[in-house]
Amino acid sequence: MTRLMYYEWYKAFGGFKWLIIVVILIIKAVFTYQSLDVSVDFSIPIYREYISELSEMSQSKAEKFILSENERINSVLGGYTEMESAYSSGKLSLEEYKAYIKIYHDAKSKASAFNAVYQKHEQLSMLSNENRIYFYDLEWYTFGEYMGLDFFAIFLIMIFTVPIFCREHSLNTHHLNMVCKNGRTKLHITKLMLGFISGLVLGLLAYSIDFAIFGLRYGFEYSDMPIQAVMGYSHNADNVSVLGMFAAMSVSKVLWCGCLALMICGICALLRNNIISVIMCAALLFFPMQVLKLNENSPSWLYSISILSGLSGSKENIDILTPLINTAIWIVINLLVTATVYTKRRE
Amino acid sequence: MELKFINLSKCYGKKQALIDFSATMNEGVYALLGPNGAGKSTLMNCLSDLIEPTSGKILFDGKSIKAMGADFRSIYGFMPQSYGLYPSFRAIDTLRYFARLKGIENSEKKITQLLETVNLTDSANKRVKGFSGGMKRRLGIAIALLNDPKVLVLDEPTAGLDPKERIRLRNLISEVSFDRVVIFATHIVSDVEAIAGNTILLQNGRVLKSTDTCSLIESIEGKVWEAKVRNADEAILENSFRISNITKVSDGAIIRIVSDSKPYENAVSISPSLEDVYLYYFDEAASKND
Amino acid sequence: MLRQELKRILQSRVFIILAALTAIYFAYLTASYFFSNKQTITQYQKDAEVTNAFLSEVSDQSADGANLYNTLKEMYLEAENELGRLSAQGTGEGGQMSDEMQAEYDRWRIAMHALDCVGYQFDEYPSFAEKTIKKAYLLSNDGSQDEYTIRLNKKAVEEYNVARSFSLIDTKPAGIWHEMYSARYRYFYIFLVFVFVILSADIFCYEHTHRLCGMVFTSKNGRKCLLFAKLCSLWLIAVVTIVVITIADISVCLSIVGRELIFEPVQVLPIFRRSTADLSFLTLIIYSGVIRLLLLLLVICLVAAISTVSRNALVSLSINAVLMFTAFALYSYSIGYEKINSISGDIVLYEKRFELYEKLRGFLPVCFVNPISYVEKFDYMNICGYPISRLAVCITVTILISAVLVLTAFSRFGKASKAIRLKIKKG
Repeated sequence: MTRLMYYEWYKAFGGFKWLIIVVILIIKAVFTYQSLDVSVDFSIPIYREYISELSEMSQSKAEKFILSENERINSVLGGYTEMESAYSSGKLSLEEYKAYIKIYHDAKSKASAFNAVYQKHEQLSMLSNENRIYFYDLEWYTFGEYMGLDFFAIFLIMIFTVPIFCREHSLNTHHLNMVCKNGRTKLHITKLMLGFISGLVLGLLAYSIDFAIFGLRYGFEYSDMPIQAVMGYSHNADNVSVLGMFAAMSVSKVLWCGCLALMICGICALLRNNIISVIMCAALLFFPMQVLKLNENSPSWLYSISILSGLSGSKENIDILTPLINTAIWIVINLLVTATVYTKRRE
Repeated sequence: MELKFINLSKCYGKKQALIDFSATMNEGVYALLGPNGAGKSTLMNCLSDLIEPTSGKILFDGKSIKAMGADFRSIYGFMPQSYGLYPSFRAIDTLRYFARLKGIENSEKKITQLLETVNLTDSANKRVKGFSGGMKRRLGIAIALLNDPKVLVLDEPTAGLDPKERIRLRNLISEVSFDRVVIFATHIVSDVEAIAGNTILLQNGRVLKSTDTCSLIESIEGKVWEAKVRNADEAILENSFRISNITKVSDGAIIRIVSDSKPYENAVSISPSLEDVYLYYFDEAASKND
Repeated sequence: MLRQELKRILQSRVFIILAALTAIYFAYLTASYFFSNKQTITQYQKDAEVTNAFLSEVSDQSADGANLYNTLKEMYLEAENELGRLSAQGTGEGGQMSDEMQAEYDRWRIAMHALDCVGYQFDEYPSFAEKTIKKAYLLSNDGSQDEYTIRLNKKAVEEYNVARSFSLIDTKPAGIWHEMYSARYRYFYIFLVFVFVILSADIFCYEHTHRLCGMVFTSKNGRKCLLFAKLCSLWLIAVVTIVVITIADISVCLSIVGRELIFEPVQVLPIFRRSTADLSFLTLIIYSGVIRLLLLLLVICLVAAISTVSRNALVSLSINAVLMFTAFALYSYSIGYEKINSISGDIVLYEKRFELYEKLRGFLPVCFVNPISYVEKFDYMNICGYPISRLAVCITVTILISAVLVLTAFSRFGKASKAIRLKIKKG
């Protein structure tokens, strides 16, 4: 079977295809992390400024600074109506009012960023003393966000897995294969294994390249901090470091990639047409995602079967069990499909 | 060795492609002859277990081929009429791949031998996408012969081959038929005449005749005529009789006619050929006049 | 030729599956938004009826807009005070409002709605227009007096001084309709683009997939004529698709906002405050349909060009999908909004990403997936010193790219692949 697997691999990935995959993934990763822009609702430069100031302070000094800054901003913003009426009634001169307005705008522009800093302070206060370090975490936060719905990984897996089954019919070699001793069930199982392994390898490549490019760009500073210190992960119950968290997430996602590949194999084995298989696979991936977006109360098992939740970004706890269960489900489904294709369905 | 077909039938919806086909085949060459849509490919596909027959069964040495499954396929070789190959594979890679599929270990020697047999040794390391139609055909034959099959089925094996290759292949088929059942379907009657020990005539899914080739030819002894005709009579004869050949001469034409009775005043009876047999049984238009 | 090709496409499995998926998705999306918001829509419609009746009653009493605004403001403040007084007396039995309080509350709510409508038309919109003219001036080269700035300023003044006639009616249902409409574009039209990519890849590579090249390309009409027929068929399908969707959108809009609002200027919505477009809700839907149609036509031309080069449906699909993904990713990545950053007291007005977004909307036709972004504000680009509408620039770019792609397709369609040409050359 190993030899047969080699030929099947050569059919699917022979020549320069692996190179193309790697190049596409590198370009995508470089493009993604070129300027790590996060979708947050506060000013990043101001946040960075605060964090760099706090990182140079001791814990007690930092705490004092945060509390005093909080009070200052609140009092400036809260005093607007009063200052306005004071100016209207002549209690305040134009110069004084202008000076206040300048302070007001400054405070207003800093308010949302400081709010994020304040939340970080509360996050860190729940950790042990040695972990209460203020560090710029938006890079790790964004890395987690970008690890979500990875369309490139899904797309590559789809494009390279579909031909594993559909090529035989498009090239009209299926007759020659089916009359051979090992040309039915054994060949089918070999293709399934190849599909699964390819999904795992493509996923591994995608996330490894992401890690590598991210590391080259930003380094892995503070990767040993607890994950709860990173914005958005404060409710995470896993006792794991930042690097450990993302590594575990990658493992989970690589398993999901394998599961996705199995799903695609099952569909292709039934449909046996390149374009129609791509359509059905894309529909099975896309529609549940839409249903989820429109109705968040929909049953999640629907999405775990279509493996989208596995490929969505998640700030919840590490979950290796669900992809394993889904992989097992899809293996069973594929075995049923194998039986169907070769016993019930004939030309 | 015995391959037995028992009342094999296949329907595609309302169309009956094969009706109660029964035959017993032992070692030797069997030719399937018939017009398009006669049921030749359907029969081959049933034997290859690519389609499910509507009724009937096929036994090999007393055992159902369906029950035998992979065991039957290990002694079965098939070359379909139209098939594809992997464009990025070299010829030798293709054979190695199919050797794996057929469960053949240590196949290098066999592969080299086969490449020589089908005259593809020089092209062994070339990619299939650069092959001509004839070269692909020869590669297909090599694939069919890889596992030294006991039952070899070839659908139009010589289509697309030049005369030299055709003769080579015919000789190969003759050689290998000594200890195996070889079934081939073709429209090239001369191939059948040259190598087929037995011929099965199929029409509209039914067996018209199933006998050895010599007897088949002898069966229309005295029904094949040759006559020199005037130009004016040529058209009349063409519309009324089965014409197997027309050779123009200076003052008319020499026509070869297949007919139960003497068709023309100066017609003489000549030895029949398999082509005449084909015309006799399958030329429906002229048969109305008999 | 066109008829035969169209017939073949409509009967193909790929088309039937894609059409079914598109129809199901569109129906689901519309029904989901519509039915999940049904209660809200009904509530808004009821409120609007009452408010409109109230407005027409009150407007009879006032001579002009400013007086009407003041009258309504007085009514609103009166109702608010009365409500405050009644609340201070305590609620009725079981914490429920007394009848008197309920009546006052209703009066206050209606007055607030009416004040919103009138206030917008007679106070907010005109002053916002003025602010936008000033901003347009600021946008252009920090207020320097080059020719482009002068032209842009002149244009802004001209466009914003066009009189807009708003009907005096409650526009709340229009808001919820717009929210539904905008939310739908985000996924559905992107999905539609990929549907056309898949369909087109299959159609243009059909002869290669089914090994018909030898027979088709050697016939009289088997090359340029055939390609033209394919292009026209797909364009026709795109037109029909957009027309159907537009009709559906208009029907949904009508059922939510009603016949009165559908002809109102879009400027009644806050998102269109800065818009100088002369569009009603009805014409907005039609305009959006036309712009998205242009996008689909471009996609078809792109797939045609790539398919005629690649000659393999899956390869063509892959390349086109990567291009679309990249374009959409670039677009989503650059979508931004104005941010005011303060770094040690200095104020920076725009982030870099926002500038990239503006540039992309001028030159990247995939931005047509959201055509509203081209009309929701005063939006011009500096082209050789002249302010040209960003929409016009993008349409021009789209047409030019489409023309180049179609020419490429025509030059490549029906030609043998390199391998075959080499084989023929070798003899």
